[in-house]
Amino acid sequence: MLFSSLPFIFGFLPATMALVFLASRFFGARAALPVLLAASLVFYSWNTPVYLFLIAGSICVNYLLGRRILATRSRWTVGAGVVFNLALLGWFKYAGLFSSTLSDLARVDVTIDGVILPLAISFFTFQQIAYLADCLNAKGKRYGFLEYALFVAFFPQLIAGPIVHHAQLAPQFSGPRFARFHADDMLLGLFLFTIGLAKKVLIADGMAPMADGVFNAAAQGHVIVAVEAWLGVLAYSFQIYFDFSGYSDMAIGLGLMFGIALPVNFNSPYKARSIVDFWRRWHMTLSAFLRDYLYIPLGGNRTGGASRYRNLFIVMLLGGLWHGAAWTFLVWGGLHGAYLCINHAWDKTLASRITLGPVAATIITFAAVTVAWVFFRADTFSAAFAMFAALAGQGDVAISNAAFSPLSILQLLGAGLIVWKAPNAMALLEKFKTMLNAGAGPAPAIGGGNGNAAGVLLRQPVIVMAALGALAAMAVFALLTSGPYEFIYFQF
Amino acid sequence: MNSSISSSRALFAGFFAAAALTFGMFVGASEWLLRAKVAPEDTLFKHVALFNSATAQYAAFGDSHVARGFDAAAPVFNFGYSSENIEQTAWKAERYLAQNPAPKVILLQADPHLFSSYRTGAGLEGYPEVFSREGGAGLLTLSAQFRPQLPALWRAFFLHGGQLKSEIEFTPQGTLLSPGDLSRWSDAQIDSFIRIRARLHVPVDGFEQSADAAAYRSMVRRFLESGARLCLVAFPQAPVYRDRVIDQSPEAAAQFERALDFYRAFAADPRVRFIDHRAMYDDPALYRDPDHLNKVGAAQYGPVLQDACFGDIENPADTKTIAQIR
Repeated sequence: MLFSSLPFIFGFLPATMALVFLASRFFGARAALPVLLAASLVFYSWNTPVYLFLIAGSICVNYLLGRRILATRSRWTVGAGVVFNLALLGWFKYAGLFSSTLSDLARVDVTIDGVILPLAISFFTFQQIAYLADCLNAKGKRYGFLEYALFVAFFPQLIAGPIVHHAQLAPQFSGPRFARFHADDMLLGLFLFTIGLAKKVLIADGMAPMADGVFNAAAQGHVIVAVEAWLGVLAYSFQIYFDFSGYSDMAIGLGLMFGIALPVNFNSPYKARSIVDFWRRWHMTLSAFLRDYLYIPLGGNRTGGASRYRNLFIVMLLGGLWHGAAWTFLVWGGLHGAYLCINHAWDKTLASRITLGPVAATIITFAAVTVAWVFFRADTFSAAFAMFAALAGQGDVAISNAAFSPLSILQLLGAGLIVWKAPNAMALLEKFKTMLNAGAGPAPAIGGGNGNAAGVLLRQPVIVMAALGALAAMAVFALLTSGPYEFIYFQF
Repeated sequence: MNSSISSSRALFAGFFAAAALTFGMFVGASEWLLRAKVAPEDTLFKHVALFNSATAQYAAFGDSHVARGFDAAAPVFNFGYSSENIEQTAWKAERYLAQNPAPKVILLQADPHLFSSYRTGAGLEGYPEVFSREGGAGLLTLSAQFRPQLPALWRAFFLHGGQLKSEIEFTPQGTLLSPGDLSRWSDAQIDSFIRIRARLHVPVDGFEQSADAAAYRSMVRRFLESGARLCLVAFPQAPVYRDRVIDQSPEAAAQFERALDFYRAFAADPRVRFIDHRAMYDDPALYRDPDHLNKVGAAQYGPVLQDACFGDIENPADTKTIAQIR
């Protein structure tokens, strides 16, 4: 089920909130756990019920393994757990890729077809591997089964993150705000959910026809004209950012509604002034996971020099492959690995002598990220190379359809303004919190104080909420007319 | 946080009131757009009105190949409509028979792409609602017909300075005469179009067992039971379509042939005639795109098809061959 769908917004969410509220009200907050878990599993298995067994089995096995590791501190059990999780991931996500590659190389047909990628398997596999590893090194903690199961399956973060660490989430299920539906939590949750919904439906989905038009043409072997290629790649850059950050905002907002604080996942990544900075701002919970559970165990930068670059490169390669079962994702990760190595080498050697201005640094970083998205979006290498040829000005095919109307160009400009000039959702949330706190005192008089009338009006929480209500209505109307588009990160 | 319960209520009220107001404004504005700007130009509106009101003993049914390509002359009505699948056509046929219980001659489209993956299994897709809402009763904004088109309609409205003018001419007999000229297309445009058609238009494996095939058989049977004679027609296609969609591979060509065999089999009944007009015209100037005639092509083809299907069908022994027609 999609957050940005009418059945979720007007069916699943209110029904779940009502049931959790009733359970919490009449039987205590702990009674909300099984209700929320059941709702989360319904949410997960909405389209493919058979995968309910997969996630339920994965949760049970990992929970039992975690208990055993905590009791015995056995490295073998951790190893068995990691193998179990990677085997699940390997079969469901990578069996098709590796078997078809082997078939191509060995010229023997060993292709494994028909394995459907279960939703969110990359996410819940990583979360549980981290838990097992932590159980060995004393960072792990024994949770009740319901807390553990809900840590994995809690529906706001289940499908596409943020990738939540057990220590961040599980304790909150016995915290004072869980399932209490405090007015403040509901307000802030609604605030973030609406912003995320608008980002997804009004911006990201609006970019999709432009990006799809260009990349589909490339997939058909066309080398399109440079202007359209660049506009299409730019549209995809904006699409994936607003799509994924919109999803994260919605997830965090939904978490807040249930009294759960989920970690921030985006911090204006396209404002980054270097690739290192970009990865501190983009999919922050994945970066933290890769750092803690891959980069540092590999040796991190402890030995310095070449091994640091090697570790970075390996982590980014694997991070790329984590995103999708295609070699294009590996190349995308490798490209970012190379970017990071260059960035660190630059910092070490040239940065003291050559200083880039912030605008130039931001433009270079964004351009590098955008070019790399070509491998991320293209279905095949031939499509990616057709795109690069087009970007290099070698194309002569014009798509010339409605995808590139003046309105589309305005859309791109508007998205760019939001990306580089507007505060991000978390900054807006902080401002709103400040407003709410200030609202407890006397309201500032319109026309007085230190601002103009409009400025003062915009600092009134009720005006902000009304504006958000209008935004939500626009998004719902767009959903009603266009239907929901799947989130890009759902495929991972 | 310090917000009190009462101020929280005000904030929630502000949110939901603004949401309701905005949503209402969007619905209202869209309703105005549809009724004031779209409906007068909308071919489906006109098509539904004609279909629901016409008393027709001679009629043609099918998708855009029929609707755009056959410039029908009285007393024949063209009840074809764009993107119509077989199940929708069969549904319309039942409705037609309820209104016109004694049809004389009916033209049914017999093109292979009706059994391709993008057409089969789609179901009625809101047809009963569309055809029962004559005169635009109820909220058009929420209708299955217009709701998905609203973003494109608003975009077109703004891009054309507040005017929506259909380029398609709706004739009194129901034909959708369309502009466009394939001879002006660039190679890249044709290539892009053909690649998509080549992927989409091949009849699916086992189409004979599909719900669409069953609907087609049922439709033929119902028309014959009502006393009508039938003319099954495979419509003209440009050479580039024949070469690169039908003959894209031996497997694809075989699938197209199997679909034609499906239609041909009905002609074992003397009341049914099958006509293969796919290779009727080679001149790209007669086509709006590789598989649709434009208004020039439709005007040229109309009398030919009318004569072939409706002129002498009362006397099957007088059947003309394609070679004779050309």
